[in-house]
Amino acid sequence: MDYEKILSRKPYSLKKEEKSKLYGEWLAELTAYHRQHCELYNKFLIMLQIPEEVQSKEEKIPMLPVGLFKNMELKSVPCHMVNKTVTSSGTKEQKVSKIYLDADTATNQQKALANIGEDFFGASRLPLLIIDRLDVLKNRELFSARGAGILGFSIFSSRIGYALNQDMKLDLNGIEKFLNGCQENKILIFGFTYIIWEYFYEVLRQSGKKLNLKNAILVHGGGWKRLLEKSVSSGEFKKKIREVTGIENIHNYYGMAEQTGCIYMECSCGNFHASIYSDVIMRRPEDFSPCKIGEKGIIQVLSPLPYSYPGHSILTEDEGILLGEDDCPCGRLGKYFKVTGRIRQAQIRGCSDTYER
Amino acid sequence: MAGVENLLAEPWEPFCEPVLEFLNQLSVIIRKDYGVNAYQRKETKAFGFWCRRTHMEEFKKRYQDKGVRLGRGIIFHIPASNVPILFAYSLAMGLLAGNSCAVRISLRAQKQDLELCQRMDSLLKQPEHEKLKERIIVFTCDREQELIHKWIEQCDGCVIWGENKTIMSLRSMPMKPDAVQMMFPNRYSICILDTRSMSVISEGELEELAHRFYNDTYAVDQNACSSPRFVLWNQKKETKANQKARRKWWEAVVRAAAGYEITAHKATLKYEALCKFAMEFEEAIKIERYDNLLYTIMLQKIPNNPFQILGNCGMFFQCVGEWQDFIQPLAVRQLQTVTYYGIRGKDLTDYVLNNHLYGVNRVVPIGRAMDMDLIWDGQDFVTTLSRQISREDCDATV
Repeated sequence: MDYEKILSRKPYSLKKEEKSKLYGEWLAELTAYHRQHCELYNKFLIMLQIPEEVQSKEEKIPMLPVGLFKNMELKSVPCHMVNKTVTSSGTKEQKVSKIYLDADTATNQQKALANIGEDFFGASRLPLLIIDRLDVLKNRELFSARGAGILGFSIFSSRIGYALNQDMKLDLNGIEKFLNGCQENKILIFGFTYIIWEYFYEVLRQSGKKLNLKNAILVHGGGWKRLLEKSVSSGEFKKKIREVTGIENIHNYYGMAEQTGCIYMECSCGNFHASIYSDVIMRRPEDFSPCKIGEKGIIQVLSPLPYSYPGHSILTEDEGILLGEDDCPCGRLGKYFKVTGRIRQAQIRGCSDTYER
Repeated sequence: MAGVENLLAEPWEPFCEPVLEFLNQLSVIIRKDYGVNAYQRKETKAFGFWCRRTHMEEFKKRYQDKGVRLGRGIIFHIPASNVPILFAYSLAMGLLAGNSCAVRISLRAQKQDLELCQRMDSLLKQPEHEKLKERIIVFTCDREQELIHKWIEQCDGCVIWGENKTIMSLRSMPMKPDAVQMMFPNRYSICILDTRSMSVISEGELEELAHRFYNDTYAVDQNACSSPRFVLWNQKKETKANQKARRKWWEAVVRAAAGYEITAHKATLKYEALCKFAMEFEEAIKIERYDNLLYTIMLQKIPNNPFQILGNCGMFFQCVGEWQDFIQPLAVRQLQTVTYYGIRGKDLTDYVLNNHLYGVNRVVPIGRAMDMDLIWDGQDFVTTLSRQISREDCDATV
């Protein structure tokens, strides 16, 4: 796998036919590689009767359910090569995923993120204001949940400031100080969607204060679950944030710990974009066949980057709709889509459980 | 949600007329009612059919020779939340045994449970059920609630359906010294099919049998304790013909289950369970997938922990061999129901008896796994929830 070549390409530069062909080849090669290097993955392929010569077709690449990363140690490198273990931000009571990264995989994922970021925010590093508590990177407990994402984004920064203090209180003085010395307040702001909403927006709104951040770029991710509970839509989110900060440039992103780096950024048209470092296929529940454009399905994510663990083809627990490929009005090539949210965990029948609320 | 707050505890005779009449009227109401969402209400309909008078009279006959009996007083019921309409069966059986009944249903209760509650409540408001009305309460509360403690403490017996953990915690609450308990903890079930019988079955029979199997399994997401997880093929030798017969069966099951909706949730849950099993199980297995509707997993032999192997929403573990060889390792105490086709039910119960097995509480033909009976999971509702008054008549000569 020639990662240098892959990463030297511009992130939204591949047309459908070429990407599909390359992904078929890359992912088939990775499937063979992980088969040899990860015993559990090998067993999975044998039991599901996936032939040794897996077809070089993107749709045919076997997919691992994302939940398995919570239950099993899936890695394709010897233990001493693992230099970072990323854990997913599971909600309480849930087991968290464990992703084993060697130095090369971690670097490649970071480069992919840098390339994607450059396409959206430009090549020059900007001051980065993180909407989170200032010890988020130091506190080990928090690190597993939110730190990894923040650390990833810090590569875009010339310097870093934090908007919240240790008690998650909005630190307006701190923000003022941080903005002093930023030319025209051209900065990058990053945070988790619900933290931005609850600890930044709500507090600003209640205090009646307004910030002048019209030149800033806000990037946020981590899912809509908590905001959906408050019935806040993406449009509403943007509008309200704009009201208190003036920020015009707001990008949500879709991504997961199981495939870090190759995130799916939201363009100015409001669509998530697959870069050349990853791809999505929406799958029908009844037989996992690929959905048509406009049809809701279970999101499968594919990426050639995972090398130290067999995470190159993952069936997620999210649902989404493919909107098109290569023809988003924003001009980026590749698939663009929307995420409709987590799969609804409807209760199944039977008597295996009772007495819950 | 239905009934009154202060129950009249007075014990009645089992199968007494006011109870039979109430259940019959409820049966008529349910059966007359054509709902818009037929699938949702299937369990309600089944209950309506179950509590019809002729069926209840059959039950009554069973107990005619079982001595003079009277109910115990108040029976407190906690049905499992994800079995639609279970509360109604539990309640009905408590009433039939001659008791007043308090039923706590989950805050997550199914819509059809709530609908049935409303029907019951309005029926109880009719003057002719005035007396019975004082003997029923259906309510809902938080699981931590004091209310549960209170009922457990006051009742003369309780009927609890649920997870082992739940049952253990409820068991530890103080009760009257002579209160009885009927506990229905986690169980699992199996199905035995005779391969030869399957190879000679007529087409019509095959479709019918597959349909019944569907009702035992898919209709309850294969998650009821009486839904089989293992399908065992009774055969001496493995032959091409036997393989063909098994395939014929599963293809019929796929046809019978064609209307079953595989939601995104079920698809991911099931696929993950399959992959996890494939990666963790130590011995060789053979997986067959019929899209996401049906997964079968052929095992070489019965695993040590059959109870812990889970299959839901159409995921079956298979084994081939002679049924006697299966029963022994499978009949751990959690084994509840054996459904069968092509072998004799009596041979099964005889085997359990002669070999002194801990498991197997029910042996029923395919299609009856979900049929509720007064004898359930090895326990008799009427004899447990009523007391027998023994009497010896005086010798006339003394």
